Amino acid sequence: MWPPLSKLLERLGRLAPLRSFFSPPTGGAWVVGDARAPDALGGDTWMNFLAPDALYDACGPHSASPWLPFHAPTLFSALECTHARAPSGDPALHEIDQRLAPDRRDPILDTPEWLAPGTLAIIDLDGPRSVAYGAWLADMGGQPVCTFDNWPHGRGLLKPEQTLAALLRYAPVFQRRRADLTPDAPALWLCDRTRLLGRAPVPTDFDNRYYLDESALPGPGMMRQHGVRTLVVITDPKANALAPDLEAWLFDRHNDGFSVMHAPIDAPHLEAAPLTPHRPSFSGYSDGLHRSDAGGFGVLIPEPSSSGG
Amino acid sequence: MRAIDLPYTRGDWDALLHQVRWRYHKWDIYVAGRHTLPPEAIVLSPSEHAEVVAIAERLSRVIDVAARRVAAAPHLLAQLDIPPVLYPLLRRAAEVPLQLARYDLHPTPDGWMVPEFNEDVPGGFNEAVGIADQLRVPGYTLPNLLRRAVTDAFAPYRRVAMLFATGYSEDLQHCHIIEDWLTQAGHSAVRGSPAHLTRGWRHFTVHGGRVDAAFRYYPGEWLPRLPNLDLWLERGDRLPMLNPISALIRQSKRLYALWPELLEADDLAFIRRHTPHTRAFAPEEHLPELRDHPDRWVLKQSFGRMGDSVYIGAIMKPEDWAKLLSEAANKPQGWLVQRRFVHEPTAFSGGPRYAAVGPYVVNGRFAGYYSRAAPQPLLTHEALHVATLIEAP
Repeated sequence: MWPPLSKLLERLGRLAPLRSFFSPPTGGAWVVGDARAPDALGGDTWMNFLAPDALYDACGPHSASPWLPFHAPTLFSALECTHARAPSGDPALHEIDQRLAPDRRDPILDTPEWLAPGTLAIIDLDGPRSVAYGAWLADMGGQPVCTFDNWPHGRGLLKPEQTLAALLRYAPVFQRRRADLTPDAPALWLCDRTRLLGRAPVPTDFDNRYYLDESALPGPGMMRQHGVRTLVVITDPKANALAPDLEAWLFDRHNDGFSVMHAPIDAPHLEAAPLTPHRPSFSGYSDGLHRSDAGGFGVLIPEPSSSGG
Repeated sequence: MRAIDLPYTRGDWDALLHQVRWRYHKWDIYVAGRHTLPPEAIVLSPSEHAEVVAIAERLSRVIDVAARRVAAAPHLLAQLDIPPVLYPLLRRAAEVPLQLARYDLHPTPDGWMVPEFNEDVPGGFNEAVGIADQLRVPGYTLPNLLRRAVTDAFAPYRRVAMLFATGYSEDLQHCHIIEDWLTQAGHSAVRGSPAHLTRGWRHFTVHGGRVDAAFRYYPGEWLPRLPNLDLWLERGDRLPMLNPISALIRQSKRLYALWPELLEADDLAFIRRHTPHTRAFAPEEHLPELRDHPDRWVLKQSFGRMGDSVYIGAIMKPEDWAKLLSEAANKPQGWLVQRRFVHEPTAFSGGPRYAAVGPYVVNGRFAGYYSRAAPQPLLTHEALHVATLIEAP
C-alpha cells in the first residue's frame, strides 16, 4: 500500500471512537448451529440436549469410567449463554452421517480392529469433525471424552460454537449407545485440532486458543492402571504434522513403553499403523507455547498456571 | 482448628458438586485426573474464627499503610521487582479504594502465619461460594459474604468489564461467576482481555461498549507487555478497578523484606508475629546458609501464584535445591529468601494434611473463606478445597 496512506489508516485505526463506530456494539454475541438443520439421525431429538449438563452427560464416558475426570465441561457450559442453539448444518459432516445410517452399517466390517479394551484413541480433527468421528466410533462401542476447553465469542479467534453445534447434532447418536456402554470401553479422546491455530491475532481478536495439558490427557500410571497399552491417534492426512502439544504427550508415552499407532481418516476402516513420534519442539511450559499476556499465545509469560492465586 | 468429614452421602455430595459445576461454573473440579473438592471441612471454634477475622482485617490495614508509603518513596518502590514502567501509574492509583484480597493463614505452634498475600488476583470464588451457598451442617455456621461484598463494591458502576487472560478457561470461570453476580444485581458486563480496553469519548470501552469499571483477573506485572500499554499508563488509574493496579505493591512478596522501613512499632510487632522473616536474596550473604541449612529456608520469586515459584528447601531433593540456588544466584533480582516456619498438619480422616484457612477481605472487611489442604506443606493449584465451618457458640 502507498506508505502515506497506510500510515494514515494506521493512525485512524488507533482512534478508538472511530474503531467502535465501525465495529459491532459488543462483539460478544454468537450463535450455535443452524435452526433449520436436523440432528445426525434426521430428527429433532437434539432438543432433549439443550441443557449443558444433559449434553455433557450424553457426549461423555460411562458414569463409572476412570476417564470421567478428563471430560471437560467448559464448552458445554457455554450452551446456557445463548438462546440461538441448534445442531450443525455443516454439509461436510454429511459424509460421516452416511456411515451412521442403519442400512449402511456393517458392525463387523466397519469397526476398526484397534477399537477394543486396552486402547485409548485420540481424535484430533477440527472440532465438528472430531465430534462426528467420535460419534461414529462411539456407535461402535467407544466411550467419548471431550477436551474442548474454550468458549465462543463474537470476536473469537476460534469458533468453538461450531463444535458445540456438532455436539448437538450428534448427541442422539452418542445417547443411543449409552445403555450398552461399560466403564472399560475403549476411550475416545475428542480434541479440536484448531486449538493451536497459527494465525497471529490482531488486537481486537478474542484469543480463545488453548492447548492440552495434564488435566486433558492422562498420565502413564493411570493408563497402565486401567489396562491401556495402545494409543491410536486419528488425524486428517491434510494436516502436515501432529499438533505440538499432542506430539509432546505421545513422545513421552512412547518412551514410557506404550504402543503408539496412527490412523488417518482417509483409510477406509481407519486402519492404524505404528507411529514413532518425533522429539517435540513443544515441551510443556519450558518451551514455546506459553500463554501470552493478552490471554493467547505469542509472548512468553513466566507463569505456568492460571492467573489467579 | 480441626477437620471433619461432612455428613453427606456420596450421592448427595455429587448432587452438590453438580450445582457447583453448572450453576457456579467450577469447571476444574478435577486436576490431572484427581478430585479437588472432597466432602471435608475445616472447623474453627468461634474464638479461632474471631481471631482469624481480626488478623485478616488488620493485615489489610497494615499492608495499606505500607503500600501507601512505598508508593510515595521511589527508592522503596524500586525494591519490589515491579516493572519500572508502571511506577507512575502505581503512584497515581494508590488512592483507589477497591480491594479484594485473600490471606492464607497457616497454623503453626506459635499461632497463625501468612507467608504471602493474594492481593492482586486472588481466586477460588466458584467453589467457595458454590459450596457455601448449598452446604448445611447442623451445629455449624458457614460465613458466606463474598457475593454481597463484591456486588456492594461495584454498586456505583453500571457497566463493568471483565478483564482476564482469555486463553485460560480457569480464569474465565472466575470472571463468569462475578459477571453472574453483577448482572443479577442489575449491572451489565462485557468480557475481554486487558488488551481490548480502548478509550472512547470521555469514557473507556471494551469491544465498542462503554464501561464504567473493571474486574481485573489479570496479573498486574503482565501489563507492560500489552499492546495498549500506553493507554494503561496514561489513564489506567481513571478506570475504577477491582483490583486496582496499585495492588501490585501489596502483592509483591518483596514487601515482606521492607517492614522495618514502613511500619510503626505496634504494626511491626503484629506483622512480625504473623509473617515469616524475609530478605531480598543476596547471594554473597545468603548462599552459605542456604546451602548448609536447606531445611530452614524457602526461596521464592516476587510474583508467583498458586505455589508457583515457591521452593521449600526441606521438601526438595538436595540436587534440585543446589541447582535452584545456582540459578537464583545467577539472576538474584526477583528472588527472596524466607525463613521456613513449622506448618502444623491437621488430622483429616484420610490422614494428615497441611491446611490453610483463607479469609477473603473486600474493602478492608472480612468476606468469607476459601480454605485448602495438601499432602505436602505447599499449596498449589492441585491442593484440595475444603469448606470452612464455624462451631455454633
